Amino acid sequence: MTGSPAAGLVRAWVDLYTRGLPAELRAARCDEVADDLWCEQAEAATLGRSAGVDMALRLLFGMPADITWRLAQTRPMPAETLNRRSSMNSRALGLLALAAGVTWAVWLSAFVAIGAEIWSGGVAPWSIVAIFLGGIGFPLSAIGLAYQVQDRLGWLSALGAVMMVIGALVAMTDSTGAAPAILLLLFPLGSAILLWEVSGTGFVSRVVPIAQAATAVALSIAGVVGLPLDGGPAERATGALIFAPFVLSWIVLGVSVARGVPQPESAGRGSPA
Amino acid sequence: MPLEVSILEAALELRSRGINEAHGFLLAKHIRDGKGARRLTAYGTLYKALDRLERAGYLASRWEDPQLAADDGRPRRRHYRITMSGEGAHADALEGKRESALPRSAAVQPS
Repeated sequence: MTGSPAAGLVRAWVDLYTRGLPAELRAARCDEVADDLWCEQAEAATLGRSAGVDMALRLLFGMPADITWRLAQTRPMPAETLNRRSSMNSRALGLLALAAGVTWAVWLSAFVAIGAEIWSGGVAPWSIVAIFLGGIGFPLSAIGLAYQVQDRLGWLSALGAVMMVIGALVAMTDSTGAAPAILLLLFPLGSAILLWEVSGTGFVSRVVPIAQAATAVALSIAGVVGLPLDGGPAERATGALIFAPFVLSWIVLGVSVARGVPQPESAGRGSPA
Repeated sequence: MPLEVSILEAALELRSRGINEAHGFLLAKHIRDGKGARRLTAYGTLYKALDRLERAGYLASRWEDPQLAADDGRPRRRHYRITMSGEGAHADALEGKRESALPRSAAVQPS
């Protein structure tokens, strides 16, 4: 009664999308769907037909609902309803991210406007300071936030942090023209991974890592198709556009964290009696 | 008719036949048969809707005694029953008062 390949597929899918949920909530959903499968197979057996195709279609058509349900289980509570706790640490981390984000936004605008001249004359020192402020400030604020919830983070966060630091070092050295630009990808990618993990605790909005991942993806595509990100005004504008979600995400994160760090409540309902 | 209204209706109809509680498959089967549809509601759609209705207080659920499931050699079962609030919501929906609002109104959002 439980051996149909389609039923196995459904069970595998439920197992996948409930992964990481509180144990009782996960067990509730798995058992509920398992019972549904059992009943469906029993009915099909009574009618002397196979339920495989129907199961596959029910699985397929329900996937969007499964995904949105899953996201709703882990979505941080709205900021207004959370008890935000301000601390010197969180305020400092938020202000650092905000300052670095604004600085990079201004620098990107200047880069689009004047191009390579940003590395010459009187502007050059300011450019280096701006790049270093982001290169140091972004990882510091992200890792500082992660540190506050370290007991709720796993190895993926550590990997993201390492990638981010390497990417930041590349960004800083690349600004002086020394490092392979492809490694720059590690900066938004590592940051997105780390902050995705952190956002799972409710400390920051999911929008932040998603925006950073968008920059990482766009940067990858640009690298694969050989799209130049500097040179003429159009190329510079493209480069700025690619980095815009990354930079804006830090401003959003900075403003949010500077207001205080929310205290997430443990999720979990719908558990069996 | 929104799925949530169909679920409430199915729960009411089953109750009128003496079935005060129904599990997810039974509700889906009742909806399918009532509509003459070829297929049951998709798993994700069905259980998400049940979750929303329960959060809104329109349905209440309980898990059956695990021994019953073990005796039948099947997974444990979750039974849903319609509440007074659910009956009111269903009546309002049929009158058109909440038809569009029922599935996604603030009232059915997680509190």
